[in-house]
Amino acid sequence: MNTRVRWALFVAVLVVAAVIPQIAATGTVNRMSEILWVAVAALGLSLLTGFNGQISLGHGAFLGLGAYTTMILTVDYGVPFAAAGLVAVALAFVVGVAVGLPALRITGVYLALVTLGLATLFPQIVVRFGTITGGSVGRQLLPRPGYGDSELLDRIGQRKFLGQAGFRAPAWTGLADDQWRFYVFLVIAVVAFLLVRNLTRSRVGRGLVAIRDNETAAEVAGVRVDRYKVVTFGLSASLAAVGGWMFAVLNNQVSPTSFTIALSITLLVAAVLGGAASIVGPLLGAAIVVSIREAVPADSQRFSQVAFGAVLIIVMLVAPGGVVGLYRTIEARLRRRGAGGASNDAATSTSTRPDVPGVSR
Amino acid sequence: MTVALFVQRVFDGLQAGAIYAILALAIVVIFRASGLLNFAQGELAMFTTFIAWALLDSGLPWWAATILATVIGFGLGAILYRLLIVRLGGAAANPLAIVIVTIGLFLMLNDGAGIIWGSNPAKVPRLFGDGRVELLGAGISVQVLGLLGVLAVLVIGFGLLFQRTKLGLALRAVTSNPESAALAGIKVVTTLMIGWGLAAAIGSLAGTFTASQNLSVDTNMMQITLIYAFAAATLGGFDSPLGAVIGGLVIGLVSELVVGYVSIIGPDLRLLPGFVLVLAVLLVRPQGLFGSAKVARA
Repeated sequence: MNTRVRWALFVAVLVVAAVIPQIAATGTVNRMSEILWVAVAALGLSLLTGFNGQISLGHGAFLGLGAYTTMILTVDYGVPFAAAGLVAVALAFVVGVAVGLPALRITGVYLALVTLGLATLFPQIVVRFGTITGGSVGRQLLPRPGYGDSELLDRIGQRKFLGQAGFRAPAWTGLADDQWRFYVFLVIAVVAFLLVRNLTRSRVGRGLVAIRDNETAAEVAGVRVDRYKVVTFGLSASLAAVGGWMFAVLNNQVSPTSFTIALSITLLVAAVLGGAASIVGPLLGAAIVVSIREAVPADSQRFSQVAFGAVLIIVMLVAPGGVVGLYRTIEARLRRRGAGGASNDAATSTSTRPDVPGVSR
Repeated sequence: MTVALFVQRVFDGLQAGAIYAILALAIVVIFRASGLLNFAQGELAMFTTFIAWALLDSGLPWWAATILATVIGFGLGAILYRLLIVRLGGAAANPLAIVIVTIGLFLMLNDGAGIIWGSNPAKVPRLFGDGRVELLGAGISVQVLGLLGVLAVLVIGFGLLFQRTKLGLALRAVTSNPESAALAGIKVVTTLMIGWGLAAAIGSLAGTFTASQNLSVDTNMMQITLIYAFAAATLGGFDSPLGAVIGGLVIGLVSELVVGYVSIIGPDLRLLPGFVLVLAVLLVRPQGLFGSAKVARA
């Protein structure tokens, strides 16, 4: 696809996404909102794992951090949603950098192992600090007596307001709450995806890929490996926290059971299935994962989990580049045939694809 | 803070630690044989434990069920290696593919077991009975002693296997250099199948003991244990069976004592001491306490 076709497709998808909430039922709109939060968080994971080669099995924890920060700040301290989101993103960046620093020395499978520990630890931390987080019950958009700055909440009239509030559409829009929420999510997602797209196509992005492919060579070529890796970890955690903010806003409640290893694995499935080292990959992956979950009846969710497990394995063995990688391969093959065997390999070089198993350097 | 309570906690810690040690042993066997980490090791153990429970339920005595499940575990591990893992290439080739494929297995085994056997925990008896031995005022259950005995047998057995047998030599040769091993006439794939089979068999024991510890078997029972087992293997060094066992016991002891005596941590943050320990080891001495350091070439 050339650039012009891509932009046309991008605008077309955007228009369709903008029109659907006007005609679809609330359930469908919320489902689309769900796809968007999974996609943004998976985008963060794909930036870290797909482009930079740092494996994280703990992104559910960063997502949880974002969701809890949002919930606590809005409910207990009357902070507006937008400001709470900014704090959540900043906090996740700091924590991400803090995790990224030891990750400089802990690489490959060992990093996967430590982040897996982080994912397991997160719900325990939430339960341990139950007076703030609501423990194993979690938090809802209801003020809990005795917690938070209730004096402040009373003064600004937030306490009364929160009871039936949440993230509501402003009157001037004339939109229903679910529509407004989706449009806000859509804007956030578009911004996040464009930012990551531009980042990966910049000098910095090529540095990230170079680190993934050969750290020593990257270092020799002048890439500041340590700084890049740590900042990427922070950015990736921030994107997960944006997903967490969206989660809190969409569901109006958070509890430790939402942020277990299962969530981290779901994000991994979305990123890998769509194509970990691509920009549209996480969005495609998120759409597939959420749609399959939706299509499977609630009492048979275990079947969809087994299917996801099988898909992970099959993707890794057959098409390590995910859906996007598969598309690129097919496109390259078609183009080669069209050009009568002329080599177009340079245009479809493997530089943005994850390593192919079995091919050693 | 009485002596009896302390002794009680030490033995509780050892009991938990012995189980971590057994699963860590499984992880180390795979790491020694193929240089890989298997994130599905715990779920594999859970799966074979369900098989043991199903056999027990069908009327077999517990020892027969355990042995049979261990044998089935061996087969399962070997088949998984032959069908899946062998296709991923060598250890250093692609860590991401290995993590993702074993995570895929994790999902399939976990929810597969849920589909086959249901989500509700099933009751399991104590393998070594409910007896207790009096020691320094604390009642130590026979179960702990039995568990430690099994662990000792496993350590000695694996020490002998790796250092004194032809199979052990082959396993070590394959890890250190698959090409040279193949040239020397070692059947690499078969050897690795045996390695993965052995690991799954030991894991199956860890699962059975965990179940008999909890008095029940359920699909999520091995997830926390796996984290501890990884911690144990990290602490002891991924290529040292003795290290894994000592690591397991240390992690079990430290967790139990910290949770018991440090009120800020408390039972809620049970995982924290082990996590901190692992992070410290990976940062300061990545090869672990008993492992051998490797020089990495870019």
